[in-house]
Amino acid sequence: MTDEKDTELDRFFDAAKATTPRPPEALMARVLADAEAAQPAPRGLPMPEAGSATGGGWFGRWLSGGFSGWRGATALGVVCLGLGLSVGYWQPTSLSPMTDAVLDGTGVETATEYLSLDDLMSEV
Amino acid sequence: MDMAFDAIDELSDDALIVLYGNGDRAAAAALTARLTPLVFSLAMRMLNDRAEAEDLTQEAMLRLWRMAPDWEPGAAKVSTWLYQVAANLARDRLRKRRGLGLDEVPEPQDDTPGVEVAMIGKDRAEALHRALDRLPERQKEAVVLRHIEGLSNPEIADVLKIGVEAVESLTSRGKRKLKELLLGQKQELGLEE
Repeated sequence: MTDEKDTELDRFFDAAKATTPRPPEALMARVLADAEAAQPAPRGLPMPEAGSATGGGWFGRWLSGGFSGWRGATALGVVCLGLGLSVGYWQPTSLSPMTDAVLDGTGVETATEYLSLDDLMSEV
Repeated sequence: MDMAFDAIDELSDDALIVLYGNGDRAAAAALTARLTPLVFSLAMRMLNDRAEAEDLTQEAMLRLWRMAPDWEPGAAKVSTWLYQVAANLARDRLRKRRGLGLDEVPEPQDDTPGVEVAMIGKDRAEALHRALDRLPERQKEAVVLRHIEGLSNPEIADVLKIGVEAVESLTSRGKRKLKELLLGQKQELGLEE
């Protein structure tokens, strides 16, 4: 009896499923319009800002930004001063023969005798 | 770049929500086509009023669009979340309806016994909806979701935020009441075959 009633009730459910209400086209259009209005902007690679001639990265930002101002110029001056002092203090060995020749008075000519064109030619 | 429609149809709701959140317009169209009918169907079953069902559907879908950027893939089923929102909105509307003065309540459809009705499918469906309207709110929700929308008991438990056993109890009591309403009066209603 219960099974019979269940079967009967199932017929009502089947009828309801068969008559599923479909949303009207106008509603679908409104929902889609809402979706597009609420949608975040597409996410892609970050685009450089308008007017920026340089690429990304700190060097580009430094060149296009800080370097052009007085702060950039000051920073550049400090860096150059430091570099010059360090080069003067720690004398590069590759320059020693030339520097020594000038400083001890033997002259550049003496110094160049270390390696003449003839020497090079004779070794070939 | 937006995905092609045929490729996008293969994707899960979860993946589409992520794409939508990333600005993919094809995902917006696919989600609209896929989910709007689900919400509208439930809204019609619960409210039995086309204009109200349309309003509810638009509102539920709008909540989905606003939530999309914060959606955590795998955390829940999109359709379950949406059913939950729709069921809550329907409950609010039904409560407001009950609070209306008698003059403002929409005229109920004629369910007088004795009307000679040929029991074709449409009539059966209408009789069921009238009977569903006479069930307590939660029983109606559980029966509609289980036996018409075809959700599983665990899914209904998620939608209604109750345990699976409570869902089984609601659907069982709801069906018993429907049998009384529909089958007990079959002869009077002219439903005997």
